[in-house]
Amino acid sequence: MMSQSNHLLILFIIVLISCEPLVTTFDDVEDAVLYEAKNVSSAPAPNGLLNVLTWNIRFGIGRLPFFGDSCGDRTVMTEKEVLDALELVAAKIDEINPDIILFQEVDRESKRTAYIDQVQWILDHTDMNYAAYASMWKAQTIPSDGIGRMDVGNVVMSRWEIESAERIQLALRTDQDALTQMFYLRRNVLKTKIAIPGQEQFYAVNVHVTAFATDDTKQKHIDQFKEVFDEINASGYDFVAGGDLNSIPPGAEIDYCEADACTGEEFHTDTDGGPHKEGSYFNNFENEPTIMRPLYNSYNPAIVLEDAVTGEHSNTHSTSGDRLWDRKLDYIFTNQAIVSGTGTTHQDAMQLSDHAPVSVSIVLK
Amino acid sequence: MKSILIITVLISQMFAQGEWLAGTAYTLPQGRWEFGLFQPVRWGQSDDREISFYKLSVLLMPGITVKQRWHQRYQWTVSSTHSVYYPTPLLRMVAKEGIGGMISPEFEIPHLVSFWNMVLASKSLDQNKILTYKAGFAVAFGGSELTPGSTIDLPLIYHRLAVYYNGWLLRFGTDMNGRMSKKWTFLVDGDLFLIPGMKGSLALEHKSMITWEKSETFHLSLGYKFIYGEYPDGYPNEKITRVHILPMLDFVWSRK
Repeated sequence: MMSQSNHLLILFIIVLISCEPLVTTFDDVEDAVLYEAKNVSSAPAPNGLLNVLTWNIRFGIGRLPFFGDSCGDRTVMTEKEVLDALELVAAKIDEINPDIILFQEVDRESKRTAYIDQVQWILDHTDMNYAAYASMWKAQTIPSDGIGRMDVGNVVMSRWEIESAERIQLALRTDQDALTQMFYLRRNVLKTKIAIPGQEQFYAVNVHVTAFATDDTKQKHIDQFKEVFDEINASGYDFVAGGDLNSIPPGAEIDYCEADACTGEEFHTDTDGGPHKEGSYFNNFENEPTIMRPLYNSYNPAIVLEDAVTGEHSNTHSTSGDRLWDRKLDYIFTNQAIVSGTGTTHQDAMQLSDHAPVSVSIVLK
Repeated sequence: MKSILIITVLISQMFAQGEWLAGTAYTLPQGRWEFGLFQPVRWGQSDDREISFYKLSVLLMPGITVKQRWHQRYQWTVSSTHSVYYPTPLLRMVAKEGIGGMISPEFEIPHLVSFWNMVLASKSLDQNKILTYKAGFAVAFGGSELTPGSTIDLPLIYHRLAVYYNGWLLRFGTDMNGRMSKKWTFLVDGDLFLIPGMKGSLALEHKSMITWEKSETFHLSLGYKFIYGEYPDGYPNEKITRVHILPMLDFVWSRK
């Protein structure tokens, strides 16, 4: 029997039937949105090495106190705040000087970030020339907390042309009611084929895995992500894959509930150890603490497992700008050789996002 | 549940504001009352004056409209409408955390008041048709402290609330009312909103409706509304355009 809330939901949908859907849903596989810089600069052929960067840029708001992820109290940032933060992001990109970037949490036309198309802005303010965008949350309005119009997603940027780009839908969370799920994120894998001079088939694969699911959605996302580049690898092609996997490396601490608690929040008060703070606890389902092991076992990581677990210099995330990076969530893997010692976590970017950029140099065939 | 109801009321009221007003210069006969599901309660105070208000939002967005018929000559009837709205309670209600929050709670909603004024000129045509031209303006006070981040960027809502952010707007329109048979009438209209100075300064709206007059005291209306609107955008654009088509339905009861 349909619940009363479902009747209201249907009413709301009917009221807002439009040429542009209230909430955008996606096919299992569909083309990503392609971009080009306002002024395309000439990109020389790589000299046998490829510099790759992954970075969750937190929709270009630096460490501003957004309500959704940092015990903050703000939803809508000003244009100046966003542009100031993007300038710092662009400067950091110029400093790292990557050939390919895997971005997560890039906004475009979102109310919370002054409607700025951050994909186009970064292209126009760095040496990157081409981009592919795959939305993970797109709606005319999110009727909650004043979020309003929303479009945020994953981006692959490249100095060289992107020949093809696919948005591959990931599983939806199953621990939400229908209304919440309707307006919630639809995460994806962004698979791109980059026309690197001298390279026959080179793919860059980007993902932003669920952060807050308390069911096994994260396992599904990691499995689906890996399937994409397993297939590329099985075909004999080259790839680099990475992103914000929202998973700790095997052997790392699993519980950040107390560290991430906002004022007035209490966790671990029940006899069974719960409740846990969503997104801060990494043992929600069987084998979650070791969820990254198959990737380490199969491919070359930018940061080797030993350093990822024990090296403080490898941590990539903290929920507050007042606290040093305290966990590793961001990764790069490849089926190519890695230039020894080039895997770097740029922890000096502390105020630019709640994630540190991670970069590495890959040896091209 | 309550939050979704609030949204639904907000949306329906924004639909209602100015949408279901009888679009001609004619006024209700003295003493006649009309009640619609979405359209305002209308009362013919005298043969040349009509008063209306929106019942669902009377507490959340108090407002009242007076239509005064001024002139009737050479088949032309000229009236003016004058409305006042106080949307502050409604906007404060939806400036909240959690589901139903259409405006971020970080923004203060000041006391806002708007005055909408319009001149309507209607002429009877052959074959039971009435053509109406409309032109008007709205001014608002109290919105100087509103921040652009508090807009609700949805069709019908954005361009009507724009007056509080911009201080004024212009509105033009034309209506064609007609009778198809003893029990069936139609309405086709177009409205243009101009808000010079706003990001997203234009909306063009068109509505087509047919009404079944079951009896003198009960009418059922069905139709659609087409909206071509500009909305705010950021780098590299100043605005984006969107097209929406919305279904419309209303029931009207009347008594004398």
